Amino acid sequence: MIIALTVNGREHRLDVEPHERLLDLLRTRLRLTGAKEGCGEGECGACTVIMDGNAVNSCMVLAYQARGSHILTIEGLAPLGEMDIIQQAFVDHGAVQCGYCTPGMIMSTKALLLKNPRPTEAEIRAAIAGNICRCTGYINIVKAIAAAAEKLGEGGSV
Amino acid sequence: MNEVRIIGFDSLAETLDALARTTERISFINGGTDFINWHRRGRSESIVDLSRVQDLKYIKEESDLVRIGAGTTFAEIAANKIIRTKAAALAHAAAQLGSVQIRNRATIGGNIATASPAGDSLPALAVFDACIVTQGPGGERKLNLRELICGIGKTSLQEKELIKEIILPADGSKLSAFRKVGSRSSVTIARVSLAVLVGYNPSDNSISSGKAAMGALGADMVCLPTVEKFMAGRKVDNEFVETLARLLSEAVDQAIPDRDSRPYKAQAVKGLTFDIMNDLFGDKFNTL
Repeated sequence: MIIALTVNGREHRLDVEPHERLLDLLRTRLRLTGAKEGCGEGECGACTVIMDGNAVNSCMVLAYQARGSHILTIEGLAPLGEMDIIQQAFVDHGAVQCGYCTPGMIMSTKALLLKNPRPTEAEIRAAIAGNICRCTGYINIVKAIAAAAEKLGEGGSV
Repeated sequence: MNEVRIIGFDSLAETLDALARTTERISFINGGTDFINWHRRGRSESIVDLSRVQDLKYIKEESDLVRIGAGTTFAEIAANKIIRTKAAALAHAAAQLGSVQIRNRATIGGNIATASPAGDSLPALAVFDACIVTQGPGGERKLNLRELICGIGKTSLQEKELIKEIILPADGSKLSAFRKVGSRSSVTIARVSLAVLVGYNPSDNSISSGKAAMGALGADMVCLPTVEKFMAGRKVDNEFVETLARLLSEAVDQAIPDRDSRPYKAQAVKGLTFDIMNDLFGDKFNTL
């Protein structure tokens, strides 16, 4: 099946297999290895990307289902190698430990802030409830997200 | 053996047309959040993708009915004003289903077709006596949940028959709520879930009619006529809530007599009853 889709602003035409997942397409065909496979069953959120403005588990979307869609991955946040505000906030607040969950955590944050630039702590926690971190205990992650929201409110763009 | 294929269309008409032409055995996929876990390994059927079928995505009111396209996601249902005001139990169930990522993909039609006893939308749909509209080669059918779901993971859907619409008789005059407990406080599969729908008369603090449905208790949704009978005409006070909790707990005992989880679920449902009554009538009932 040949599909066309846009990933991080670049258009691609790819011949995908019926059971191939969006996660496989990103990691093995496009070599975008930021999205990670953790559980492979929609529990951990390490594979989170933004599809047409919504956070999705890329392990739970068939590549074919992403036809015609716009996908944003963690690599798309820093196209020129400079970290964006959310990434910088995670670094500044010690929200990264082993780092495996971080791309997914940041993409869930990005999706949240695109829709809700001033989230409450409860809204932040709900937005990342589908992203499991086994290192940090979430406290610094929540602080980083609140700080990123505040910084973006001062005039930065998501 | 035929080569496995995947096809999908933007409209229901094109989808039905393609289904009418194919002779292959097919599986439907919509949000994929259950499908991919179950079907990825070793299934050979061709797949028909419904996730882009635009005319299966809608929520609308028509006099006393709320009509939901089967391809509507739980994120859309949880946020929808019509559902929140007229079918709050379904909005609650949608908001508690999975994570943001799952709710952005998972659909109400998919939740029904998966026929998991723990399907979060099912108790809410049961208390509203939802009508499920299907479309297949034999035309359109209208079924209730009991007719559609006939076992764990089993439905009466026939080959190439898809779920098109869910119709809720909901005029907004009744109160409803949904709660569940699972192994985590969020992103959790229900160990037991409860939806309650009541007609309430504030002038004399009484219930004109009430219905309760419990999920995750084996193949059948537990929806008891005795509970319905008990609720009708009662005054809403602590004694009412305690008795309702006891009746529902006894219903759990009867539904899963041999299950190791029975004592836990029978106790947990009492807590859910108090939580739901507090959701419906303000925080005024004390747990046992």
